[in-house]
Amino acid sequence: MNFRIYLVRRILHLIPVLLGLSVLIFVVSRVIPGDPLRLALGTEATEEQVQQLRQQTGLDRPLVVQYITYMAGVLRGDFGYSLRTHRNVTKDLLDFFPATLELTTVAMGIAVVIGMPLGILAAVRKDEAADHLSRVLALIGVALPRFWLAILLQLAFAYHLRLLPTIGRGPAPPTEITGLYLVDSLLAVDLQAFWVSFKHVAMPAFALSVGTLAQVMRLIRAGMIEEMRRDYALSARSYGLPANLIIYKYLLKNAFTATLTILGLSYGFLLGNAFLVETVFAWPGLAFYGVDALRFKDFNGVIAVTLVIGMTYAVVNLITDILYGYFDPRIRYE
Amino acid sequence: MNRWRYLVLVVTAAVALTVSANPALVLSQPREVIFTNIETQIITAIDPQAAVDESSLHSAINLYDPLIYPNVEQGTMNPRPHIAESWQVTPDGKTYTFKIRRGVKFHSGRELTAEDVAWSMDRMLRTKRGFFWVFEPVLDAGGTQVVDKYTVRMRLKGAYAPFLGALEVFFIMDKDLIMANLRPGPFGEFADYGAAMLERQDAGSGPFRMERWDRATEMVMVRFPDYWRGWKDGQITRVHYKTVTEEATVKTLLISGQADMIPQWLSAQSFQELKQTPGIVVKEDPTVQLFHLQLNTKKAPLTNVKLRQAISYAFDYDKALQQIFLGGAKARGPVPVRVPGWASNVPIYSRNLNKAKELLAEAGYKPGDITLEYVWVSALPLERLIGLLLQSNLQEIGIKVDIVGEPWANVVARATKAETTPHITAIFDTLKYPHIDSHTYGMYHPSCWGTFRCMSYYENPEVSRLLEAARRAIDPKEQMQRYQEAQVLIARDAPSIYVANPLHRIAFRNYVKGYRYVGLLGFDNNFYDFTIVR
Repeated sequence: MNFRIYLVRRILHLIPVLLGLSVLIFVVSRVIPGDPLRLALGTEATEEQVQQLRQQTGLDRPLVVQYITYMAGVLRGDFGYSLRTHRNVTKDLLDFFPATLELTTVAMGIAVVIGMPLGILAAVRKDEAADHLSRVLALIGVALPRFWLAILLQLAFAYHLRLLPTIGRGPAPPTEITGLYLVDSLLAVDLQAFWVSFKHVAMPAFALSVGTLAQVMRLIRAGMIEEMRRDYALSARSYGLPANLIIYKYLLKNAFTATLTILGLSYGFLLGNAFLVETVFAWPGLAFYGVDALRFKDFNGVIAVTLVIGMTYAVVNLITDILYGYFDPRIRYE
Repeated sequence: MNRWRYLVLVVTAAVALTVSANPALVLSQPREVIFTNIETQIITAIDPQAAVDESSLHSAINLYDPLIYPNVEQGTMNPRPHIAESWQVTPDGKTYTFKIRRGVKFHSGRELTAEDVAWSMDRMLRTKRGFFWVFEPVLDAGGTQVVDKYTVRMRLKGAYAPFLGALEVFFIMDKDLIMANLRPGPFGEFADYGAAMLERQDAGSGPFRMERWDRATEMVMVRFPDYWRGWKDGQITRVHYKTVTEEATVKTLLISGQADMIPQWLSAQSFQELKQTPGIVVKEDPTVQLFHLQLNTKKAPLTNVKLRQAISYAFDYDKALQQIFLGGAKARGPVPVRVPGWASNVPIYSRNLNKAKELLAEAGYKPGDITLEYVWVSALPLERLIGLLLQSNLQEIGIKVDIVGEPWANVVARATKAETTPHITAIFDTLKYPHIDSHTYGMYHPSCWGTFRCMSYYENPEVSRLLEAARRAIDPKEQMQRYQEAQVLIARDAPSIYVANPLHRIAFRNYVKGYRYVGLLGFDNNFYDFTIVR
């Protein structure tokens, strides 16, 4: 099977997955107790007004009809009216999603850029001080609650050292194209705006990345140690190839496949679980918006957030699968 | 150089020197005074007629003007002139005529007139959002008439005691600006009534105009130079209104000086901590808020008044105030003590276990007979502590209490029917409009059943008659007398355990001057009142 057919098939597979997700979240959002219309209208609303709004929003119609109407809207890019923000959810998504996407992507970048060298170091210096230190760091990274680490970082870097801003995303770059401030400032070749945006994202992204960073570090270490014991590694060493060449060109590429799986999964996990970090840093992201929507039972907001996160998760995993082929040519597109 | 040229040169040089020595003379622009306010809730809408929560009301108060204003200078919520510079009421209490102040400008530059007032009232009654429910019983869309450019008349269906006070939350909008920016919507000729436009800009005449609004993070407001009340040095020129939900972050921002003021929603412990911090002022005021445990009088066994009284005598009010609220005043009946019209002769319950046991026996119950459900709002841990205290107190007279935490959405949903309403529900209830009617008629007249404010499902024909008479009364003395009589009867029937009028706490940097607690939700943060004195 060639790559193109494989890609089309994988994309087609996404359709039932997202459809299933939409049915599930649609039903769940309707059956959880509490009436969003009463919250939206204010607690003094009369029964008559509640019924009127129920009619306007179509919530008085059978669940199947509501679902079909909603999904028809989604296909047109209309996620419905938000009872919380009093505007179309699509506008909310356009405002909030780029912030979370940027935060999560930078967090993943940090996890890979710091986690991989530390993992390699731990493998190369197995059972030495660097290895023990990396093990302790990994344990701390996995065990430390993110929100607590976030508060500690704030106290250290914003309050005491005054190196980084305490909260927020900073001012939007003068030209907004993608909604990702780092990207937009680079596209506009505005290095000052890039630096300001980077200073704002650095702390929350690091706090968010720590768990994944620890996982990457440990997986790379384990993978590298396994690869180092293989015959091809011994042969390469006996031929007198330089250590760096063996590590980076041969061992790392093979050791990275397992880590890649975790990165794909982690990306989705970070997207959905950025809430605590977004709360501490007042980061205007989708997780923050989603939890607010959930608290106020804003049906359309909850469904839209779930679908967008689900879709991103699926796309990232598709990319991961494609990358397998690059790292391990033995994997065919079957 | 001739003599005149020489003179002009000398004068010019002198002016230049004076001006450079005193920059104030060149500044037609005021000194930039930036103020950073932190709030823990997002601003959900800048449409002032949709605002009901604190942060949205903050935006309304700063971007718009209400028709009349609470008399904050005298520390009361009674109405004083604002956009309406005077008013007259007919002897039957049904017709109000307001004289509109001349020379008030909208941010668009156009003058505010009676036409805008009438149009804004109709808009509120048609869109049925925000505080429309206060006006709806007595006023229909079209019931507000323009008499002339600066006179507007409102004809009510009947005399209505809270009407004038309620106008303090009626904000006037720029009719022409909104009508010129309509988008398709459900309101016929009024299309969306400006909803889309109000995403991007305000339509007000308030002291500040909106410069930027990033939902969920920040609204930037800048001084409106033509504000009709004028400006003086030291007043704020730019407000950064930021939303930060994490308590630890909020404290860090204030302590580090990155914020000038933080909101009331922090825990009492955090305010205690901030009190010890140099450079920070924690201001505490008794509130016009009631914290009470509503007893469902339509659900057995709480249908029995003696049982309700027994429970009221068993509760440990002092412990609740000292150890859970860390201050505040004990509630004395349904009306907060600071509200004009509070009845000093209202029956007050204090902890008396013997009396509680006697009443329980008189009610026909023995220890162990009763199990009650206590519901607390799961976002408010303080209410859980109150539940634990109640559980332990009632155990002493042989009543078992099951404590259940529910999200607010569920509490509101359960309140819609007496059968689904819990036996006991913990509720914080702030004055909804600046009148005693809010905490009497608004909580104990059967017309409010089905809302969280009326989870006691209280019904007493005598009280209903008194409250209806009070609303209709034209003579203020007679009106207050009716409300006071009703309070006494309500408290005697014990439809709630009246626990506390908690303290209102707020913290700000010590160079912020002019803050005063108003009591009417949101009005404390009218940034026009603040000056910065460093």
